[in-house]
Amino acid sequence: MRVRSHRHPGDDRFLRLKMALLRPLDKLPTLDVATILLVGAEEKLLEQLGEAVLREGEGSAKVQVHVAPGLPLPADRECLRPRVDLVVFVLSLHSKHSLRTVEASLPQLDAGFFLGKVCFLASGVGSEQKASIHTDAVARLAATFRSPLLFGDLEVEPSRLSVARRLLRVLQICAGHVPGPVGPEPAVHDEEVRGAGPAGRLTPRPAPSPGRGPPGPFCALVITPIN
Amino acid sequence: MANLPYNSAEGSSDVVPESPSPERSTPTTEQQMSPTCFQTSMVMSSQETSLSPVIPIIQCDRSAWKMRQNESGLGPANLQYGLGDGKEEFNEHAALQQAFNYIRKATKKESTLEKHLQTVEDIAWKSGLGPKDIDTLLEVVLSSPLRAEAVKSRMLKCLIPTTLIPESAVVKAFSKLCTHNYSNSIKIIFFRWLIAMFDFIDHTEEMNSLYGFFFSFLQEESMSCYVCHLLYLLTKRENVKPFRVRRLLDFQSKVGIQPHLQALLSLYKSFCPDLVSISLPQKRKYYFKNTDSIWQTAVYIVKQRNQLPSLPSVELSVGISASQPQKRKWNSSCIIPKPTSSFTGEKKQKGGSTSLDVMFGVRKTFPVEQLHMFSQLLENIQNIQFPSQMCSVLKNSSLLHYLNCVRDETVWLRLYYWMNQVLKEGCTWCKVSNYTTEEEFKSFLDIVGKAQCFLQEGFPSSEVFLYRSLPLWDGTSCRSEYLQLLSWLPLGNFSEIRPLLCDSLAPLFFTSSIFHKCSVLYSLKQLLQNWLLRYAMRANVKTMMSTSSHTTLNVVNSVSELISFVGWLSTNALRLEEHSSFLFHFVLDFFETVSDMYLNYNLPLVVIFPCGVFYPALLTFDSITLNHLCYIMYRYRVNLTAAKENDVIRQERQKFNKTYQKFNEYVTALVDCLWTSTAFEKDHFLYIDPEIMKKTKIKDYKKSLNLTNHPALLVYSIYFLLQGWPGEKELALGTIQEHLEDLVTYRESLSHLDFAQDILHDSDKHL
Repeated sequence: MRVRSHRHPGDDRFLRLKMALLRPLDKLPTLDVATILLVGAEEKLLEQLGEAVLREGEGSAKVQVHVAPGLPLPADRECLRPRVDLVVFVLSLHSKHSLRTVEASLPQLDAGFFLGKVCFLASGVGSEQKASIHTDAVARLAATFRSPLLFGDLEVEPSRLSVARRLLRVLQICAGHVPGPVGPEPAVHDEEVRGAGPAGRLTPRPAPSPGRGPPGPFCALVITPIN
Repeated sequence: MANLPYNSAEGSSDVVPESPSPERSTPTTEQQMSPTCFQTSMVMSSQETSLSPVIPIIQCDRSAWKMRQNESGLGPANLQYGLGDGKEEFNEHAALQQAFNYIRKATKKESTLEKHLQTVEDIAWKSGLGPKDIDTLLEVVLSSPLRAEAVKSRMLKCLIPTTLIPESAVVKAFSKLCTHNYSNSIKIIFFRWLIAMFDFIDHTEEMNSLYGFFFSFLQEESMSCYVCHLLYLLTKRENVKPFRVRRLLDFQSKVGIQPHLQALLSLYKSFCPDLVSISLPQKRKYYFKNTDSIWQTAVYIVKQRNQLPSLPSVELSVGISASQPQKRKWNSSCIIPKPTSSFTGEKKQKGGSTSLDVMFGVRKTFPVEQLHMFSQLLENIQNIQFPSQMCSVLKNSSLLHYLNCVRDETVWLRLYYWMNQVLKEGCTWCKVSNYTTEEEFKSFLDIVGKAQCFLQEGFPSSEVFLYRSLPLWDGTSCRSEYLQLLSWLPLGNFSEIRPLLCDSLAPLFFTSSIFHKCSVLYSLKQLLQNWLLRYAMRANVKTMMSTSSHTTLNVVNSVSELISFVGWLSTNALRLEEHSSFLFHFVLDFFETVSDMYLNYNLPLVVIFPCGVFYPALLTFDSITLNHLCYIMYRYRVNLTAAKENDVIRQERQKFNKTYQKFNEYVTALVDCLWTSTAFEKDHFLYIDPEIMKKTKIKDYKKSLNLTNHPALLVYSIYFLLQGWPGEKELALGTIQEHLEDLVTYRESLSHLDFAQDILHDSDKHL
């Protein structure tokens, strides 16, 4: 199954207005098919990761991988595109450009995606000399958008395979093939801790928040119905 | 040898190109990593090949070949030297002696001198100089009346040993160097030679006693980097003195931060962290320029000759050191050597020094190398000193025992400092390092884990490492060893551990394979057990103290939060993995520990497991899971009844009411299901509207989950029928219940499920 990549059109503001926001539920799902969209500035990494995902996904449900250098996606192919189940933003810690691309693409995504269909992936955490982005910045970004952050070295083959496997697990949940985890965080006895919530450590919240803290990302995965 | 075929005209040039060719300076360090990537040339005569038959002939590299040609005029493999016999060696020896005698008396440069010099060089490069010859040559060179430096430096450069260099020769030469007036270049060449050939010096104790003299050479700026390198190799723990540290720091402030000074300072710090209080940067890859190209090939040849491994083998090196103490290299961080005594008083106890010993009351120390058994430790416990390399303690169990009882804080400081460094530098996912592979780091983590297990206590360095590296972990590298570290987190406030567990571990947990999930659950179970043991030990010690109630409260809170966290993890994991029985095993293992918390560890706490674990376990297809569940319920019952008597629990009635209620719910469900077959009736847990049940067209569903018909226990029912009525062709499961008198045998056949029987009986009484 080929990895399809989308060309990013030029800076035509008029054209951009025509492009629709990517919405999670505006298309019908196809039976037994899951689609993952990889967004990031480094094409080579994305292609390699895409191939790894396809290889690992053989045997289970059919997996389609789409690759894009940024959002929004061009409008002319809109009708041919399947429903996207999971969007993965791939950043490289070596280049600020990738972070900026991701930050620019985030507003182009419909808010419904952030209920569990978005994942951040940071590559290149090992080589500290080349790092131009601090891991804290990426962690803060992931926390703001309430989405999980995975680390992995996409340049090394075994690490890439394990990241691909992880993405496939998330994809299976997002596409509804596997029942995802539900249920809120365990009850917290501490008043202050309750306010922060499991993932949103950095966003200050008023102390006596009603009930238990907001559920973390993995607690709020929407189980999309197959039919 | 006068009949040298390759008498090159430029043979007398003394300027040896110092070319560390750029492609070689990095492989040099890699050379120390694996013998296979050796890239410089090596030219051997057939005599050498006869000594060590397995040496491959490696391709010639032009620059090295040229260099050797410049020095010794020897070309590629020279077949004229033929298969040596004793005659040739004798000839060599005679020629050498002749040459030495001549050079000793020579006063000016002339052609015969040149011939003799050539002889010495050839012999040295071909087969090396024996220990006595080295001694003689050093003496000759350093006491030669020749003014010309060139000859001396040339001779010094061909000091290549056959196998070993006698220490006495080095000491003599060094003392001459100190006393007579030599130019700096000679001194530098001497030091460089010492550094390159350090491994071949047979003992270094006397050199160590001259440490101060070596140290004094540090003041000369031109020599300082070589002297630092030499000191780096030579230093032992007792050489680290405050005044030396001060002098080093003064020197550093004078000349600025140099890598070699930093190297020596960090070595001092690793020995005595209390003496060196400045902060040093993390270990760099290259401290010392490793470019002694003059002797590089020679060193390799000699090593081959000695049949020693040419490098400390880094691949599987943990714990095994060669017979000689290894050169302390910066890249051997993950290698844990055998413990070597820091104080070698044994050797000095001959004759003269005993009086001094008596004067200072020096006690006879037990050499650490011989410490293998616990009985030896007990006998000699007063006389043990920790080895120079603190890390070697980790592999020796007797030394670990000793570590536990010693009161000296600096010992622990040393160990933690070293461990911090190694964990930080060696971590393969936080830092892509070229000199630690994943296997090494894995085995290192394994050793640390085992040491922690032995001491039944976690190291703070591993805790710090865990906090730093878990957020960046990719979930697969060194998984089982790394998760082992998780189970040694110290008992404290759960709010400190919560970010680690919830933010970093949970996402990885949910996106990983079932085996990873099981490993995590296993290590969390170990963590709980360690905490409970810690608490139990502490409670035993502090039974009289009044502060115990506060600490108990802390412990109770932490433990209950941990249990609810794991309950959450398990519920979701079971859903994700579709209630696989493999996962159930680990989950129920954890809750088995939880169920017995009150009676086994005296912790005034009872926590019931979540419904997401109970109900799937009850309605499972697997009999092992069902059995385990029943056992846990039985233990819960015992603990809960005993806990009713406890004061603390009685006081906190409100908090624990819920637990008791939940437990009663579970027992009711269990009994309804298995025994009374009323699970599907109104107000019971499996109530489904009868209309819907009619549509399913299942007849007689009411009894479908009881003890005889439960899917998990169906096998046993059939087995029972087959055993009891072997001849019958048609058997009905319903007949089991009719044979009431046979129920006793039926119960016996389910003997491993007798816990279930107990609990059902007891709950029967309660209902």
